[in-house]
Amino acid sequence: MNEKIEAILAEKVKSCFSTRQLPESFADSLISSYRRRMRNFRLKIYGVICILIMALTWAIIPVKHNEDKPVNNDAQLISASESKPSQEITGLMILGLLRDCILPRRNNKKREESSNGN
Amino acid sequence: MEIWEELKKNKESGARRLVDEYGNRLLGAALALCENSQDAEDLVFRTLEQAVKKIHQFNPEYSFFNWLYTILRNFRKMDLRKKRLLLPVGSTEDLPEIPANSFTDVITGTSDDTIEDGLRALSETLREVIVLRYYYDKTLAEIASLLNIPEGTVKSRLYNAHKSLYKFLTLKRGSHHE
Repeated sequence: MNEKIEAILAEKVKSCFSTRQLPESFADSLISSYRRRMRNFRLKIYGVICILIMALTWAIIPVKHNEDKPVNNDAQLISASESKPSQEITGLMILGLLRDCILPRRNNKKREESSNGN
Repeated sequence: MEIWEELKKNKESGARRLVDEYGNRLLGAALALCENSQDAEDLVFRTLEQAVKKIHQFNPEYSFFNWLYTILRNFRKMDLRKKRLLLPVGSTEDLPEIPANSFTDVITGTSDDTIEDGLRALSETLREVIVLRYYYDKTLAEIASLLNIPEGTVKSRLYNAHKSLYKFLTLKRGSHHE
């Protein structure tokens, strides 16, 4: 292709696709979209941090069980409660219990499946 | 300060500068690729939004415009995939060779609107090469690196685009004279 055609084509193509301009508000829309995205991102981060704090608090702070001394005069009950120290239940213990509840079932299921397979 | 440096330091002023310096340049390519101006503006918006978001991924060793164009092209590909459209190169085997000097006569005697119709009649793959070559004044080597294809392929696509455009314009002329 000779240079003349190249020059004419360049001129024509430029005049075809240079007719339109972006609207004046384009930059503002772009910036507000960026701000909105950052706000959503921050909200998500705060939400995750809140959930983590709540989970950690629940897991670390113990919930005391059997804290009040018994007022019942029954001697047997008193001696039984005195001999055993008060039990502290933490979130981690509850999670452990949950795990114990779930895992054996899975194992049992696997055993059942393997026995059925045999 | 380079635009990518400003974008890293201050997103808002960087975004404004990005629109000023590259917005309308990218719009030209988007107009050539998309079916209507609304889609073209939307494509440019998503491209610049992505550039602001992913500026940390830009490698200053490469051209900033090429990076922006690659983002725009990827968005366009995604749109076409959503619409389940493929990018056919277009069969040009049956097109006649362009007689010497005839192309110059045809193209100079044709209105811009008809040429735009002719460009729109090209497949998107051919139109893209035309836009990069004549709208952005890119060399064949630059187009090849930008589209990640061999230089010979760029040359053949450009030649096929010329042939298709020539055929369209001569047909239009013929129908106009009748």
